[in-house]
Amino acid sequence: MKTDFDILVVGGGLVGLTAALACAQAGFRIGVVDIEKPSAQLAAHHDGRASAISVASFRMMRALGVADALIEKKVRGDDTHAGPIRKILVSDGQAGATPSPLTLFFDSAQIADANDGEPLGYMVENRRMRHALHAEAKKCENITWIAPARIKDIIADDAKTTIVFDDDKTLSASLLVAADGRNSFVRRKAGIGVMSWPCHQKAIVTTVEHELPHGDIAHELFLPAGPFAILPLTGNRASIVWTETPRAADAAMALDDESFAAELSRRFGDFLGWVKPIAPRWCYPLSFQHAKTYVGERLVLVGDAAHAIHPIAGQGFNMGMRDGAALAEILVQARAEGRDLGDGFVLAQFEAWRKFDNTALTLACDMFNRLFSNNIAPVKHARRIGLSVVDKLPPVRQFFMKEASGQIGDLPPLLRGEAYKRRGGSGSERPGNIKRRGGSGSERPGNIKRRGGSGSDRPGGVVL
Amino acid sequence: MAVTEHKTANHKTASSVDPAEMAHFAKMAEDWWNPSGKFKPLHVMNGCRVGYIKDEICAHFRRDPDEDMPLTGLHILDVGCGGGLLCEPMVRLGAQVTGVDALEKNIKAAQIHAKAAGLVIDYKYSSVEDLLDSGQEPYDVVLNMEVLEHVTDPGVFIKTCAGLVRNGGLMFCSTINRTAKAFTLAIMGAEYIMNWLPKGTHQYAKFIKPVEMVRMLKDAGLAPDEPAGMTYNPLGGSWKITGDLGVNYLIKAVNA
Repeated sequence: MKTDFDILVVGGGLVGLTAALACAQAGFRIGVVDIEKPSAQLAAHHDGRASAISVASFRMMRALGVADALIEKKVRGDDTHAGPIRKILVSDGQAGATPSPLTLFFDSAQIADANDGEPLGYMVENRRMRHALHAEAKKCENITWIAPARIKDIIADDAKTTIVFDDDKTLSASLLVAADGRNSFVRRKAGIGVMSWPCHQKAIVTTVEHELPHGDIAHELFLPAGPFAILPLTGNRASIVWTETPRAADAAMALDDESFAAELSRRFGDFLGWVKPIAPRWCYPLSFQHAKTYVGERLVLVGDAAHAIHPIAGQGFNMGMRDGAALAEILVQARAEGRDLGDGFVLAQFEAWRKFDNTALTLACDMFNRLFSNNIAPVKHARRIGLSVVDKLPPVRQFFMKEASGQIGDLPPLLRGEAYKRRGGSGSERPGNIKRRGGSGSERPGNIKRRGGSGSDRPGGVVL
Repeated sequence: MAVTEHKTANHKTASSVDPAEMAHFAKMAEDWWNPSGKFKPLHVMNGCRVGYIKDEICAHFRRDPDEDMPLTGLHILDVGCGGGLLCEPMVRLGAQVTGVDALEKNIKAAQIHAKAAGLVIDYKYSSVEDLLDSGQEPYDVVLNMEVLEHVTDPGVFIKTCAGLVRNGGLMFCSTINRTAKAFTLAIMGAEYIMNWLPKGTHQYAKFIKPVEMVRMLKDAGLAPDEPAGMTYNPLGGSWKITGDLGVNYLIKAVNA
């Protein structure tokens, strides 16, 4: 059955484009559907966030040919756009007071073996990443943008899945990938429910300039209302993620620049000298949300459409990248075995591989957040001691660091930095890390996990 | 069989087809293709055997296995095709495929699934003997997968199939070895303990030792290769080509 595309990706955001790029470079014919024109997404005001990219995810960026645009521009005199995170300092505190002396300190030098001397991760502004992904996608002849376009209906049958647009035009593919975010239209259309529980927090995000160098250290300061993160960008700049109760967040958003800067300084302390906001403020409500299943008929959910988590551990985008890398690997394998890309076996593999991983991380982040976002004396005491205990136990600390740098669990080849031998599209053959897909199907990926225990669907939280 | 005339919005069924029976076949097709249903073991094994067959065909006919449709232009006969689990991937890999099965209900189910999937496959309700007698042109490749342990006389059966392989063409056979390990895993394990297969699916006496297989292929005038083992890894839930011929194994033979 010849379909218009092998894969239709709904949502051309960071995760959608990453998945599209991974699949396109493996030679699949990709359509990317978005309600906005690509140019609208590249506008400076579109997204003020920065993302922590783990080392594994950054290797994937390299394999996809995207990392160059983020890091090596320096050669041509431009700024580099990826700020390395070499150390992470976690401490418990109170606004206006010195942080508790019981802290947790992660240093990339301590896991240098596993990291090849790389940092723990990189901070990249989302808009920079978007530019790099768009530029690389443009080079792929086998990626077609269908945007701006609105979807009216999605019909899946034994041969294909068909998107009906609101002008009644249709496009078909073997598989649909929903990367349309937390409020995924495709997910709702497919009738896939979510478990969600609010965190009663909002995150204020902005970029600041500061007087003293940050030394590539990320600071995670746990204040009673929620974590306050100072994430090192390039130069003397940092991305701020300030978590607050919704009321306090709304109040902070309403402040004028000077008062806002004063509030920031109160939380920063003085170790970076003076602090000055240099970008607009964005405010995002936070909640945990996890789709009850990651797959539907000829459909897989990736990124926030499947799992939206608290930014506390900087893992959201990394989870989305892992989804894309795992999907590409499963599809390459399926093609080598002559499977229908949208058949039940392929879907089951994706669900098995990703759901366990993501469920564990989602719950861990939630627990972490609950543990820290309160001011209950015994809990506060316990966590302070906990931090210093973890700090004193190198193996535990190394585990946390490896987890944070995305090196725990079953890594698909892309996350190990192995690119697909490029087929189709005009993506330039890049020497070096090209992995020839050897004798194909006879070696089944041994890394498909069974789904975790039956209870994994039902965490204790509120089920809506 | 009831003879009825049945009309629906889309199609008119042949007058000899009972709609209730068609519904039954459609249900069977669903069963065959349900990856977690009763044919799950075949679905799980399928990737491994398709990969092996594809790679061997590519090596023999000098194709690039990394191409999109590496088997384009090759005519393949799948003997005992069942619901078409092997035929459909072969078509996706580019081959022109004929599937035969001695059970009419399997052919009907396979046809229903291929049609829904938009694949063109020539399914025939026929025995290999009848196919050979009909003066059928020989094929580039004949697949005899998981079939030999179910026929009365595998030697005669292989000879008949060999008549359907063109000069320079290939035949693939896979079956289960007659060893204590195979008895333990394939019969006790798969049928009685794991309930993967209906009890009575396999009879130990019908399992075939690799040496017997090699002899039968040679007697049929073919040049067999070294057999390869196909081993299940219960931890990863996956199959792999290995050197262990103790239970499941495959073999390729050339009609030189």
